[in-house]
Amino acid sequence: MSEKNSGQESVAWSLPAMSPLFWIISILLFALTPGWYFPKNTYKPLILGIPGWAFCSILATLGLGIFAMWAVYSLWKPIKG
Amino acid sequence: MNETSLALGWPIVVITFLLIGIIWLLGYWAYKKRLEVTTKDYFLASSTLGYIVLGLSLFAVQYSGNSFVGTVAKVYRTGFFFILFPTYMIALVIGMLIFAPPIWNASFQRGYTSVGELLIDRYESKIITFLVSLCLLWGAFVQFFEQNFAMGYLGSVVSGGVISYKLMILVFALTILVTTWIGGFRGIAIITALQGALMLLGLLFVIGLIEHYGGVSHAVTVIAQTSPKKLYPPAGKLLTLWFSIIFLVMIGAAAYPQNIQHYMALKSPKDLRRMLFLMPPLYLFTALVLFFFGIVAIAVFPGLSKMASEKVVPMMLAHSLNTTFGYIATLFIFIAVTMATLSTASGTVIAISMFIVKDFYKLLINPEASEEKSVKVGQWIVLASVLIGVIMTLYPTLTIWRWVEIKFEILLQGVPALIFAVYSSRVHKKPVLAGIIVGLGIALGLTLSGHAKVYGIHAGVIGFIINTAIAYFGSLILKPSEEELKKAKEIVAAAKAHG
Repeated sequence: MSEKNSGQESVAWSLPAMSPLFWIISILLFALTPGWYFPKNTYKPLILGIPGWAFCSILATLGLGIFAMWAVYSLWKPIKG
Repeated sequence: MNETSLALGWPIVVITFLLIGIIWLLGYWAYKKRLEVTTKDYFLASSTLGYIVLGLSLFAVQYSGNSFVGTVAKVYRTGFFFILFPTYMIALVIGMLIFAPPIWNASFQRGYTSVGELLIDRYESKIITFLVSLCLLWGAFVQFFEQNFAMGYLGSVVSGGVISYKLMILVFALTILVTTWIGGFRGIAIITALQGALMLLGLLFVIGLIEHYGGVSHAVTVIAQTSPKKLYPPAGKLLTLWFSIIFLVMIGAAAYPQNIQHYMALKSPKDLRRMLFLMPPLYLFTALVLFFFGIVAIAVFPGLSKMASEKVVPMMLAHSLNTTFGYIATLFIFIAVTMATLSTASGTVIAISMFIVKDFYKLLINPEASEEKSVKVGQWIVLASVLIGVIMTLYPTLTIWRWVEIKFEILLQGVPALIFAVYSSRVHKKPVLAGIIVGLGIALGLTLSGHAKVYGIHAGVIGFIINTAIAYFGSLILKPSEEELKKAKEIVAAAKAHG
């Protein structure tokens, strides 16, 4: 445990969770997932055969997935200088 | 409708044993490939596995029997509310982005091979290490024995009773035991990677079955007439429940011991990044397919009771057997679910064994134990876990989903200590310990007193928030010693840097 890995130069890396952008976009997209902005107690309108709110939920989740993939490479990288 | 009127019968018995044979052979091959008899090789495959193997393995470990059987049953009961399933699977990836990078960095820099080593180095407290490990271990253990339910239901219904629920659980337990005993983590990772690939193939057949039963639009039309509430957007308590579940999975599942083990086993951060990059499309695709399968099931088998609905997936498979496509699809989906279940169970049980050996046995009980002896102890722990798992699942009383919630309620209380260990040097041991104790008290107290959810928010989430607040604000009031602060700063710096 106390033996450090040596022989390789250490470089500071940015952590995704330390970026405000990571939290702002995640919270925003998560907030859009349950379709609260659709009328209650109805499943209409239907979009592509499923309730419109669920369709929007899938879109928001898709956005989250794409954001996560982007964050892996763009918010987690070596810090230059 | 008589769900056992159609069944695969004996062919499924033959296929099950064939699959198990292949898995054992692979485990033996992995055993032959082992580098040395050390805990690092047994538990982390000497960190020699690449990102495709670990990525597929991690995918297979996340999607388990409870996704294929328990979660689809939950979709059946709640309808479109559970479009939440794909969302929380992506939330898991977001959670992994919070945990994996700093844990890998710190492990690489300071040579940790387990969470316990990180915690004891950071807090220098055996009681914190013990409590956090216990919370995480609980999560892993429930995740492990949940698989038994799925396998038992599936085997008994699809075989038309040729294999009983109990016999299926016993055969399943034996398979896990043999695979893990001989193969160690290398065996598990290679086998689970293969299982991940087979699961993806099985999902294509699930899409075929969705069409076989008339498709999603048709199911929505039927549900609109029979139970329209299952199509409504969540409101009131359901809305808070929605976010509570996302939080539960995002923070809880990303901190599963078996996931942390995968982060630590990676060769380089480049592999970790590639692996995390692969996750969202895989997770989203799988969750959406399974969600729509559950929706179609509402239209095919309306009105099942809560416990009867736990068998809705095997019933959907058995009901399709009157067509050639249905027969082939059922075979492949059965293989996929068996693989999903086996991979999760074996991946989890090896993590449990690693956890107990490293964080209880070597760290707290017998620090002088040799590597060979530790590996042996790990193998006996696998045996004990499998036996306890069998005992707990022979007579099911709760739904698989309820076990999922109970699992996270406790697990979550170990997470603040882990997060602060790598993110904040300011937070120190006394407030962290107080936070864990209060958090556990709240989560257990509320659950046991019949208040598992307060206005839709899980008891565990409430415990987690108070736990975190005590650790953080308590650290602002009670200042750490200079020495403690210096060490904490070193570890947090290590979590942000790697070679």
